[in-house]
Amino acid sequence: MRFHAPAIIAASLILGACAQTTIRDSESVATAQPPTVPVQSAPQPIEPEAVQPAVEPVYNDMIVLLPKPNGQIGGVVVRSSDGGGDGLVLDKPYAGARIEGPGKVRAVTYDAELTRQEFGTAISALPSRPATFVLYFLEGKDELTGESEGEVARVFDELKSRPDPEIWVIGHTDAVGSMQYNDQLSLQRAERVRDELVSRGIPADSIEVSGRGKREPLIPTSEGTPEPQNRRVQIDVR
Amino acid sequence: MKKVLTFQRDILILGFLTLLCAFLASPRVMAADDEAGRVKVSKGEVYIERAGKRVPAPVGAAVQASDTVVTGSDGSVGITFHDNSLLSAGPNSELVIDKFVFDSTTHKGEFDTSLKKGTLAVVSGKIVKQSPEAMRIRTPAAIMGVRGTEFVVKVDEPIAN
Repeated sequence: MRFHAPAIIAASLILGACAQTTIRDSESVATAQPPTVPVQSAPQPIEPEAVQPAVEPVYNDMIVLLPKPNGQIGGVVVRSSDGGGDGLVLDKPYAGARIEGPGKVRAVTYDAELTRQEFGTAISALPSRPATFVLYFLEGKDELTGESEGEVARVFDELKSRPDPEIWVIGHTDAVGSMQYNDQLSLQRAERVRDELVSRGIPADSIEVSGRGKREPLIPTSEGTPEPQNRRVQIDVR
Repeated sequence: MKKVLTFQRDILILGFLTLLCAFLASPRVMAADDEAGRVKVSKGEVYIERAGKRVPAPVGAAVQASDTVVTGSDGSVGITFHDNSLLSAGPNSELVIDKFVFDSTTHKGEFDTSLKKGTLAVVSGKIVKQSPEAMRIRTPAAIMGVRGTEFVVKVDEPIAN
């Protein structure tokens, strides 16, 4: 085997660049190491007046429950970080706890205004809630029902309002027809919805499409039963 | 003819070496499996500390377990996790994602975070719905077991007594 001179020169240049990068990397790793601790000198005798009593820092950690849109509150159990005690259970809107140190968990009550003042910026930075939409289809077809046709614009607006949406489009069928036929039909329905969303301006790479055939009916039926509620595409977004 | 063939071979070797070099020099690309959530809201100064390095955190950035999410005095950030939990932090905050494990089939998982300072808003997700208190939020003085709710947390700098 005989190598051409230009190839050898170019190859060595490239390898040289590689080597340099590698060295730079290892240097940056080396400097990232914590500095070595200087050797301590022998302890000096401590003057009596220099002795400080051990001080516990006073913490001021707060937690406040928010009212939930649907009113269901499962609650939060608050313990001081030493883990002792049963813990204080918060399960009402604006119920709160102040934790000042080991064993010091105190119940406090906030209101809407105080919560907004102290936590407003964090609350307004909460991302949009993950959501699910369902569109229904005509029997045996990948065409939306008239009602769902009208829904598409609303769904699109909701998806479009989200920064960096992650969307799953999942097709389903009713129990009429073979497994293979319904797998195909469910995927066709999902792809139809995906194409519709993409044509309206949702980036294609933010949508994942799948078909579940007749495996996951919304309404369980016997084999071969037409059921409009099962002929659907579910759109999950977060 | 022979000339052309050796030329082609040279090109092939060059191409291979270039690829090899690019592979060696580039930082290891994180597998998508490492992603625990994604930044959906990012205002002002926001960054992630990952393995001792600062990573920018614009909308769309991946958040992984053992990341520390930091906001500046004008910053706020909102993250959606794979179990649909939402976390957001206000200005001057430091939030450590200690642990995030989630099985999207069984919805079992564990979610541990620590608020070192600043403010945090939390909306619990599927992990908590499946196993109450599998989501825990730590602060310097407290540990909170989440049973399913929305709440806010604040950590002030501790005062020496």
